[in-house]
Amino acid sequence: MSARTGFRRLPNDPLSGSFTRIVMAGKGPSQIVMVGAGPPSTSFGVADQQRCGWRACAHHGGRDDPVVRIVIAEFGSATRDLRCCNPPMTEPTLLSGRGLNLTFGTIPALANVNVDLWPGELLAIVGESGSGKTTLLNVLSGRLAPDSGTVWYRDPANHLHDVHAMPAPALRTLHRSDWGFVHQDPRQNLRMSVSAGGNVGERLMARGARHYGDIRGVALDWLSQVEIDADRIDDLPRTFSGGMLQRLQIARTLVTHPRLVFMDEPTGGLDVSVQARLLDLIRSLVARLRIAVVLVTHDIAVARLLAHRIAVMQRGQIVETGLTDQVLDDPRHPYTQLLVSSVLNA
Amino acid sequence: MAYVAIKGGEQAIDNAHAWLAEERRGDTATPALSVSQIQEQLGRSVDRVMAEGSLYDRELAALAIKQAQGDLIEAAFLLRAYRTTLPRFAHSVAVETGSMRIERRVSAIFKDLPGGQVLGPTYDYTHRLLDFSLLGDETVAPETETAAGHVGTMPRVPDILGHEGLLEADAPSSREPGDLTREPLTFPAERDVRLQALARGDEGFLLGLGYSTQRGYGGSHPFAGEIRMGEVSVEIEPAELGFDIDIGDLIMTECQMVNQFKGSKTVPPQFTRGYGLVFGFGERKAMAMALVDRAMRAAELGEDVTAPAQNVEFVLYHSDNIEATGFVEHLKLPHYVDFQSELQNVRRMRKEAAE
Amino acid sequence: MKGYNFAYLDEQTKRMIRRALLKAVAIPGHQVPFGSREMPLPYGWGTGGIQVTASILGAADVLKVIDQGADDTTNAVSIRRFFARTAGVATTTATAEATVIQTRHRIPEKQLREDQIIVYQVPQPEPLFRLESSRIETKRMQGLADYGLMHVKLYEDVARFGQISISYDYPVMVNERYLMSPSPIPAFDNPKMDMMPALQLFGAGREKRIYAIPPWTRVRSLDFDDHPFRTINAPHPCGLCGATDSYLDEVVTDDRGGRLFVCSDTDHCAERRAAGHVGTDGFQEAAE
Repeated sequence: MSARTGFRRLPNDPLSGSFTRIVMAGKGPSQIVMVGAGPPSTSFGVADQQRCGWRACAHHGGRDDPVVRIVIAEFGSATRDLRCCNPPMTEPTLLSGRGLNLTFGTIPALANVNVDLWPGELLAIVGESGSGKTTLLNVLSGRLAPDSGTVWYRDPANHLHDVHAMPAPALRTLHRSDWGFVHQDPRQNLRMSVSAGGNVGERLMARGARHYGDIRGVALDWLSQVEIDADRIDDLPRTFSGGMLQRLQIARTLVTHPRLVFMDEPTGGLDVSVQARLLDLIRSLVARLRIAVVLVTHDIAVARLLAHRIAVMQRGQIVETGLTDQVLDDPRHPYTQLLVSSVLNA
Repeated sequence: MAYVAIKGGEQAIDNAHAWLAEERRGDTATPALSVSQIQEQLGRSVDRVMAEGSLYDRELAALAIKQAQGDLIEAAFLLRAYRTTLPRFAHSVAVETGSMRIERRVSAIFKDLPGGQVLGPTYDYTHRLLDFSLLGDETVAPETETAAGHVGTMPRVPDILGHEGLLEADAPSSREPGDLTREPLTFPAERDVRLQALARGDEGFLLGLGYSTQRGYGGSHPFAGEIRMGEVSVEIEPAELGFDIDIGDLIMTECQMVNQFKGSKTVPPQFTRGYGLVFGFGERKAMAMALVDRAMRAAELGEDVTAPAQNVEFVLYHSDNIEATGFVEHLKLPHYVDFQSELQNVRRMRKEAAE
Repeated sequence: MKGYNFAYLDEQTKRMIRRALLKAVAIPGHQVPFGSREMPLPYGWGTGGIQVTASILGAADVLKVIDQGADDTTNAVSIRRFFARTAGVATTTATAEATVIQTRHRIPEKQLREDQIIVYQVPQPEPLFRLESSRIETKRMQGLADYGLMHVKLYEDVARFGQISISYDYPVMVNERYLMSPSPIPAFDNPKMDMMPALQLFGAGREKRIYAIPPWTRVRSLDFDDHPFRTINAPHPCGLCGATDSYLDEVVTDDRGGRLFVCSDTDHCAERRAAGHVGTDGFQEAAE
């Protein structure tokens, strides 16, 4: 991937040569000063994303580097990791929800929700329970039909599909090949009476894999990728710990290299130490495989660690959306401010 | 060693049947049981066989009981196999239980109500003490204070409760009800088909399932709104006539369970119903049926489906005792071939494992 | 039989069943629901096969009924008698003479012909039922040809036992579309279904399903490229006729481990013996 493909150049192009400092003028509240700390060969990409502010991207000597340390002077000179390396937003979206509405009885679960997801991007939907985030996830993934509105999915051949108008077989095929779903409770997805290897191999076999040795080889490879010992391949999931179950679910889901994965509170119910390891794993797998993810979480810390962008939901509406750090460090909406401060105080 | 292949299935079957006939008759020093004796004195057995055999014919049910040596499931099977060969002349119009000639009617939710509580011929409140006087011949007929007979008609409790809107109304349907004996079960199964399956279902199975709902497996806080038993008229409307004609009477038992319902986002709190209706005096079955009917409405009413009794597919596929007994008992048919293939398979796998 | 229609069922019912059969033939391997009737024989004892046979039987047909490959097992006798009584058709034990063969658990050893029909008694038409108990779900899986689960079962077998351990009712893919239960025949018989000249009809009375394989249809037993389907049989010749290519029953001859292996297909065995073939134990039998 070229470092600059599709990036919008700024007037004084900062994207070439070695540098240590970029000064940019934007639509943000004030000037943002970014100081690159990479080696001289580091280049930074900057893209304007409608109302969402700035995003940065770094490439070291042609290799993608998911994380670059950046100092944002404007916000108190805090030094943090900023996830980047995102595909440019000028690419067509992978998944788009337009005008989504859904009510349960008299309660609006979704109220005119618009949402976009770009290829390779991790979007976190945050909010309290009952805010509609899981409903949105289910509607986006075609599991629950909205009262009105459309969910568009762009397939690898660049054809757009109205997800809720797709015939059931096509949607089912999508769910077992191009898409994946990671549940909070891995038992909902795993077959508890089938070995770890069988669990990982199922999607391959559903897609037509008929060579036992190959299937087993891929299963072994995936178990190692999710840090499960190879000698557990024939064990039943019921002998696994909670964290292992969740990693197994991730292997089972990612084995077909889906382009888009829906995750519903993937770290919910796990110990803090187990959570951290799992988050690390998700972050590296998603970046390496360039999987687009819609992640639902009530945990702001999870969103901060994983997400490129955040959408904040309250009472069925998206009240604020933007780059993760921008939203979390400079929340505009009172509800977001409340969410962020409650985490800080906790 | 000499081996002679097994022969003689025909002879074996004939011999078995002859032996069975002798067994059934028992000691010929004891007079043979007459069908009318069964019909008159084993009425509850006759009722159960008619209900599960899906055919209202007291004489044939009694015959089936006699032929089956009192094995009621076998008797119901005999009745079913006969029933399936009968030509169909007409469908009755819906039986009006509101104008039932009441023999028994109790409500557990109102102390008194129009028509009153009528205990009727019930085992309730009997002390379950063996009556050794029945060991001998009953020469004197038991006395009844009031002559046995109908008390008249009385309004149904749900109709009383329904006036206030506290009880859900019957959903009107103009659709022809389904018929499981002609069309195979498909899902989602509508309530008409579910009720038909329950009415034909095994009393023991439904009793256990109904009981499970009371013990926390899908409970819905039931009250016995009304149980009524008595005679109803069966009417048909021949197309060429254009009006109903009464073709006879049936004894039936009806149970209306009234269940708590907290309401949903679209429906205000009100009572919901479970319904049971069976041939003859089948109070236990009617009550169990009503509990299971209500449990199977969980999804429709927005309740979680977690318990066996709420799982429509599970209940409907396993409630028919003729299907169940056939398949359970088919295990005694020869399975030599399958067992042989398993034997060879296990031997081969053991051999390969040892190598 | 007096008081009953030819072959027991009334003509309306037969017509309904024949319509289901036509649909089944048109969609090979697909399970067609039908209004199964209560029969005077118990469910699970061949009511589906009997209804199918009753619906296709004509007065000129010659019927053979086998159970476990044998004509003289009690249930085969009972069903053959039923049709002899209710339809008055000719019956036979010779495979070659029959026009309709109703079977439970076996396919005759002799290759069937285009002018024959074989009717299988099926206890459980849904091949996925042990893996997924809900028929709502299995119906959806069948509709979407979503058979990953069945392959998972095969994968598990190989992972645990080093081989696919299904020995009977071995699932087959019909015409590369529908996953089908061949009924509980031994896997040994599966290859006979493939490109069979005869029409194969399957009746499941209790489960109320009919399915079919038209003549000359591809029937493939599921397997892996590196663990291909293979049949299992006892590594012995038939003790009576010496056949080495037939499916064998194991007969326990004493309580000290004595065993005799004989053809499960009694007609096949008798025909071979009549033609002069003799097995090691058959010779002694003839000498007595």
